[in-house]
Amino acid sequence: MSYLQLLGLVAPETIVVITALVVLGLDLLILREQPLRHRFWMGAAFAAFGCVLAAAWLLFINSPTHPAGEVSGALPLLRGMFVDDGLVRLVKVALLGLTVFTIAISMESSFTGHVGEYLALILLATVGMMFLVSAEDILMIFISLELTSLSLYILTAFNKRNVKSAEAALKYFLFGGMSAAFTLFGLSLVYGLSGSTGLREIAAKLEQPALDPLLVAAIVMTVIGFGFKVAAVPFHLWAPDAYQGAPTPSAAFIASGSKVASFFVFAKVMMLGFAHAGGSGSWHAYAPGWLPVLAVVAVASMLLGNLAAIAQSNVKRLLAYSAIAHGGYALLGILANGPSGVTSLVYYVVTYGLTVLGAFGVVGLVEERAGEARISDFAGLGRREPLLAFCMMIFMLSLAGIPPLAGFFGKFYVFTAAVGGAKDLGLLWLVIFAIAMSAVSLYYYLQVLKQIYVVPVSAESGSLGAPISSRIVLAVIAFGVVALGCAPDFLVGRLLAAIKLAAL
Amino acid sequence: MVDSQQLREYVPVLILAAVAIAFAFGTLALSVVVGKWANRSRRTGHSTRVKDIAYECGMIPVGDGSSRLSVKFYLVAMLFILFDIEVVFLYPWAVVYKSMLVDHANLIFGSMLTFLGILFVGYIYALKKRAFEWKS
Amino acid sequence: MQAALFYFFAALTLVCGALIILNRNPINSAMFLVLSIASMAGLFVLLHAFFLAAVQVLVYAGAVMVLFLFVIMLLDLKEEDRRKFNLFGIITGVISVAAIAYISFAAIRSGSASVSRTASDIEGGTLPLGKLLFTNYLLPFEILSVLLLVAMVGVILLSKKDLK
Repeated sequence: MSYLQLLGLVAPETIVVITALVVLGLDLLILREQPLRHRFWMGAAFAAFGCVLAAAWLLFINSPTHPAGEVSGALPLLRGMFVDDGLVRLVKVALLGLTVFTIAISMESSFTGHVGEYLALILLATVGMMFLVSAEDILMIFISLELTSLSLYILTAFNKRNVKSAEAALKYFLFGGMSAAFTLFGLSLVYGLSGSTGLREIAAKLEQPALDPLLVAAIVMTVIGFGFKVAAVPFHLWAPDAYQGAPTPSAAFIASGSKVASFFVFAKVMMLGFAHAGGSGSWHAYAPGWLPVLAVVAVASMLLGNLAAIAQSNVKRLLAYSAIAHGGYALLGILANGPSGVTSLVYYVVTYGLTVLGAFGVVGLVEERAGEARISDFAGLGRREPLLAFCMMIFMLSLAGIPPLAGFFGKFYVFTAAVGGAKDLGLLWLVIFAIAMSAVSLYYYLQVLKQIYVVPVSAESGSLGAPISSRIVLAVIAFGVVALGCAPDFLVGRLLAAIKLAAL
Repeated sequence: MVDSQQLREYVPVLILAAVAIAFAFGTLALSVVVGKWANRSRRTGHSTRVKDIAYECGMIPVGDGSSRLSVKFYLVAMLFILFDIEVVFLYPWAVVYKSMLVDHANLIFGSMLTFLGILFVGYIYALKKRAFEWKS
Repeated sequence: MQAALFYFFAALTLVCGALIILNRNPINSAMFLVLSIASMAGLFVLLHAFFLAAVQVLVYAGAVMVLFLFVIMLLDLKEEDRRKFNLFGIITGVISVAAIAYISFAAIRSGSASVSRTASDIEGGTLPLGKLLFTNYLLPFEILSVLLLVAMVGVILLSKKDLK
């Protein structure tokens, strides 16, 4: 296999890397003296162009896909390192879409003068996520996870004028470093037990009825590591501070793109790598394995996330706790442990990512004007900014899971997958709990909407003066949330077709 | 198991380490012994307190020896590590280069070219941002 | 001889590791970290991971420790006061240590057959390692350059004063 062939196989990732380098260089060498707005527009346009190009490649260039386990060419170069099938491609396109929207909502912000670096880091984080969803090899998973995380730490610290940004980045970094250590320890135990780094080989080697104590340790540590990444209770402590202190577009990116990639790879590691160590989380047929561990984590996340969100007065913190709760719901998709679980999980996290991105977009505009994002800063938004208020309403209701929005179908699919995933409705207890918790969550989402529509406008606050481009972007995202909710089959049908071929 | 021939090559390293440790502690011990002996009082045969002070003339040092370093050192050290890691990967590359040149010339050459190329962008970035300049 | 060396290096690693956290002077802690890393390099040699041993000394004991010392001096850390432990910390600490001890004990008792089947046939010299790195593991290697680039941009961005 020649090197150019290799580059051709990873062409979408290569395109994004080159775009990032060009954006960095363009800002450094040519656009230096231009006004900030101008630089942001040029850089963002170029970055978005790169993402669209990569997505187009994924969708329309029918290069031979590389299903798992296939040896390509003379060298087993890509065995498990880079799986490229229909499912992975769909997730990657979704990731690129989320990246484009993140770039679009950061275009008008003014927290930094280092435009080139900001956009380049977003793109490089995306590259990490793209490799992450392709990986079926623990070494590759670890390296791309680190690439993503490192970029996100820096994006969190980007507002050098704000001490809170630095504090948020430090907390995120320390927790992330700990979680990387746990992941690495767990995965190295897995390697020690199985002698291989590919997930499928690992599963084949670990096929024995009794759980090896070292395997238990490995599973627990891997769950801890990924639990940190997806901010599941009790590994969620970094999330509220990181979301609140980070520049709003960065927080939106952490909540959307990185969630999609992390959950996807989390599901892959559990379902593929530990395929024979699942156990059972059913109430009547308990068996040790990773399923009961994840069930406990899911319950804790839903409980604590939803209850703590009620007490928040800052919308960014509220969204952070709501993200923890949503992580709990998404874990149900992994608990379903099968193709339907993967389908529902991907649909859930993609629609959740889109919704939360839009919500952060509105929050960012309010924050730019008010200096903070307390719930009371949203008072009277319905009069001041009818369009943005309407978008926010769609996002909030979708997060709460009201039909016919995308959030409702996400929850619906995840819950049905979880009910069908275990024998004899074994996970029904978990689903009933999730539905109850999701009713609780309606309270705090409506709390925000009450401020927007019911609380009267104070005298001095007028319109937000939001730029027209941001309005268009947010309206498009809101439209996407509604459309994915009204026609869920658009995404789900493709996912099902892709999974049938992917042999997951 | 690989035969322990290769392990045997590390015996000199072990000896070197032992000699280094012995030298470090030996000189410390020696200086105590010799110092005690040289500083002994003619009358009593023991060293006296005054003679044991570091310097017999000048001021007795007060305060802390260390002072706060500038953050610039951190930047330099961090860049050093990054380029150090880059160089570490050149060793195995150089070792396999010849043997892989026969079958996979384009692979072995292209991979390192990309690796260095991407890091070169980082180098240009550091240069342009004046990360290597001490005064700014 | 090999077994004796293994126990020597393992004990040295553990003792130095304990001294890192027990020492109250941060510079002394850093020095014990150097020693602990160096003895780990010894363990790597015994495992026939020769390249890794060299890298361990070169990068970790060399470059990374210099960075640690710079940061300690940058923050101008003095000797710590006696630490206060809270009950929550003690309880969680005891529980985690007990869990790890139990798992290690159970793993040793259940027979090391599951573990020993690896590592023996792996060659850790520079040549086999390089061959693997530039064939099977080429893609992670390339991603590493992007990772280093991100680190470079980040460190300049965050730590350089009056950045233009």
